[in-house]
Amino acid sequence: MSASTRTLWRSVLPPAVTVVVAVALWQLAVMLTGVAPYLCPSPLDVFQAFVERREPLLAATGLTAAATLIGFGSATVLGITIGTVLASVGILRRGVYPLTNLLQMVPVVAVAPLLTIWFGYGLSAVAASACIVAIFPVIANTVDGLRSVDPNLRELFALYGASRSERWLKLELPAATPTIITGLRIAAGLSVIGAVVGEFVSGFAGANAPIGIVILTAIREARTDLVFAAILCSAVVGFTLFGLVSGVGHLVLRRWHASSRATP
Amino acid sequence: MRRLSPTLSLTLTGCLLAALALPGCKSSSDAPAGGEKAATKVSIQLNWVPEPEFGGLYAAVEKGIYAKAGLDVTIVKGSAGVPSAQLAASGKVEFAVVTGGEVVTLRARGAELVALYAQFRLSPRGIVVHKDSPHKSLESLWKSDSTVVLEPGLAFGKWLDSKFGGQALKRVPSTGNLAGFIADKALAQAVYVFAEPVELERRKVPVRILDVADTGFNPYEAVIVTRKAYLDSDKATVEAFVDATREGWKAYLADPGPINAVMAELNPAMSKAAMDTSVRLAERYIKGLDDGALGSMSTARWAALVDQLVQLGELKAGEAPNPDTLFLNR
Amino acid sequence: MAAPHRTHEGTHDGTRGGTPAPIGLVVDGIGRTFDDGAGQPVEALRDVSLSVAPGRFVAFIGPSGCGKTTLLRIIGGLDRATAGTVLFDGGPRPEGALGYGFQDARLLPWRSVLRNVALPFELAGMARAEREARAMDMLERVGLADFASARPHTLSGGMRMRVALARALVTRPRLLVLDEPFGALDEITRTDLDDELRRLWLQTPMTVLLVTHSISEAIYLADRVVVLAPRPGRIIDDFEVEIAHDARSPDVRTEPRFVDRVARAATALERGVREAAVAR
Repeated sequence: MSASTRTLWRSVLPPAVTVVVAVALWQLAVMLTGVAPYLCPSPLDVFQAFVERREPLLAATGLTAAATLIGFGSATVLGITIGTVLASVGILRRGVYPLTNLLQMVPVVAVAPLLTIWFGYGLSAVAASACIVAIFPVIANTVDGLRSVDPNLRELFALYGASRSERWLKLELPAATPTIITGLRIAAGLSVIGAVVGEFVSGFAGANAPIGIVILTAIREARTDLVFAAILCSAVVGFTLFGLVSGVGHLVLRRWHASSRATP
Repeated sequence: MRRLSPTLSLTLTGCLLAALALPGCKSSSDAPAGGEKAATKVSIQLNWVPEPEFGGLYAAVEKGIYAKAGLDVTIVKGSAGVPSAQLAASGKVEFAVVTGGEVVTLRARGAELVALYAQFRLSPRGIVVHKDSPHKSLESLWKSDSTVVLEPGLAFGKWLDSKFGGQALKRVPSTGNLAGFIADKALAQAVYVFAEPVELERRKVPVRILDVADTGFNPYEAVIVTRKAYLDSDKATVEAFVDATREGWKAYLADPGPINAVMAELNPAMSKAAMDTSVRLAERYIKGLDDGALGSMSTARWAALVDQLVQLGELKAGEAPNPDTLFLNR
Repeated sequence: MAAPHRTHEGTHDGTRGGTPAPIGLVVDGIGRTFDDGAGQPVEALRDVSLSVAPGRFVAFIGPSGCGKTTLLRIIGGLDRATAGTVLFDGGPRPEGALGYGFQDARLLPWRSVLRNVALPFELAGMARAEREARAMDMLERVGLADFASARPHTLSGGMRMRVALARALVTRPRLLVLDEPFGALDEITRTDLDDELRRLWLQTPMTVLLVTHSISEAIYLADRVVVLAPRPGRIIDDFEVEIAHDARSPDVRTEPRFVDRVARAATALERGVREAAVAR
């Protein structure tokens, strides 16, 4: 077994064992307490619900994943842009940055109906909801990252007569990349939540419905097993996006940054 | 935002409430130590915001009818998506307002819910479209590619699908407000026919109402339920509650104005004026088409609903509950 | 006192047309007063004057707080004097003619060694192929060609300093300003880099100003040593080393003429500290 395979096993095995044990305990608890499945289904019930409804669930996962990706993508682009502007323009940073921290505390459920009015029903409103939730950690981490560039390196760039845009592109942005990637990883998980909440309000129901609608429907139908299955599907979207961002982050940073060199 | 936002909890509300609400005793139903005179505390979970469909409950509180019956009743407001049936089935509340369809479905899934009182003996379900909409019937609407605001998972939606197809129809969830409908001339929205249309007319939005009951789907609606275990353990309280609720409805229909003022405070989306108009229209649905007592139900109607839900595939034939055990008239 | 013998190469200086000449400078009456943060003025330098002939290697030594780094930063354009002037060949500081080395290597961790060394050219707008060819030449001269694609974190502290030196020299500066560049390294690595620096200076037509807190390093490297005293920072001694550069090897440190120079510097340092203590 090579060293890298061993490292992989060391990082994959412990959480996998945790999951297996947790699922087993859950199954056992449901069997021992005899709790009704409409209140708390067993893992087996959830698995059966997934198998039974796999086609609509997979379609729902696809729709939610698409909205999540669009929301996350726009949060990335807009968040880094806004963060850069806030980091470089002092007056805006003092005037606007505290407000963005306040704004992120507005619950997206409160805003979601407005998004429907502005964007109409369906994908754009749902993606906007995902974007709104995901953008704040991107902005905050971009500002933090750009602001905490080593002043000695700034001095070096000044000595060699770097222009403002060169300094941003060749010094500040690369130096802030680890911090921004941390923000993006947080945003990845949040964007799924934003999408599902958006779907609660703006998603299309029917044969081709996203996760949020599947959850609403299943709650009304007292199909708690299906609720769990749908939640797991949305969690898979979240984990996948988180994994992708972490992976890309690792590729970008692995040649130089400590976070990608240290073994977990 | 480095912590998970409060929106996550909302995402999971439905399932978590249900999952955590394991059946258990609530002390509020036990007799207080002080003596017989102390009021029994009970709560009732609504499945929507305060509106004339709950007028009788608010009247029984406001006019002291529950208090006279020895009950201290807390009314818990609802909203779109609140799992009121699960809350009652798990014993988190003593009573809940649910749809007729939910009584049957929950029973089929193993929840021992019993219907006590049908606040609407004739189904007030309807769809509103704008007055200048080309759709003059549910059939025409359901065969179009319009968008309709409709809480997902409710049985009447499936009923209309089974009757009219609805393959091209787009359905979006309800948030409990009318802003979207007012803003979009092409939108249709599921309503209680006596409630939202009145508010829309008041806001100078002319509408046309399409009645669902006319299409042959007419379950009891806004049904008050309790858990069978609670009924068995404290039948006297349940009976006192049902009797007082009926008195509350009589009092409300006799003089709805003051109660509407209270509910309009609790629900800024609907004005008192609209509620005053709305309650007059609601009377027909509250009393129903026969001359039975307020709130009373019949085996035939429950049996018809069970059959329809089996036909719709909401339940498997083997799961179908005995209609006689679904309700208890007082 | 004679300018050292040099082997001018100058083959890569097509852009400037011919061999660049080292800069001579005149520092006249420099003073620098800081605010200590509590509103109290602190005099870091008072009336510092000296002139440096083109192509010389001058070391500045002094105890900490004597203002030697401040003086270097003022000459290098990293800080402003509150009094006095610095003239470069009789005029203002020429654009792009200076190279800098600091106590820390100041490398960009996300860039390869090659691209770090090419950075000054990149910021000056030179085409990629040319700037990387020149950076590669420079890396060969400092013996790091094999590490061109390595990231800085994989190198030892001494190698990182060598990269920093390569970056400072790649533009063929006419004046090299070094602020305790090898201060954080162990003795052996440091001597190694000292020899390297001397070799590069002998090969390149440039003036070098070196700030160090090591008397031995100053005398080992420089033509001329300027000793500063603290509170306020001022020149207390200024002497020629007068040991031929080709005679300087690690062994020279035990020779009487070297020891004599060290003693002179040490005496001057002690006198400066004593005077500062009396002045309090």
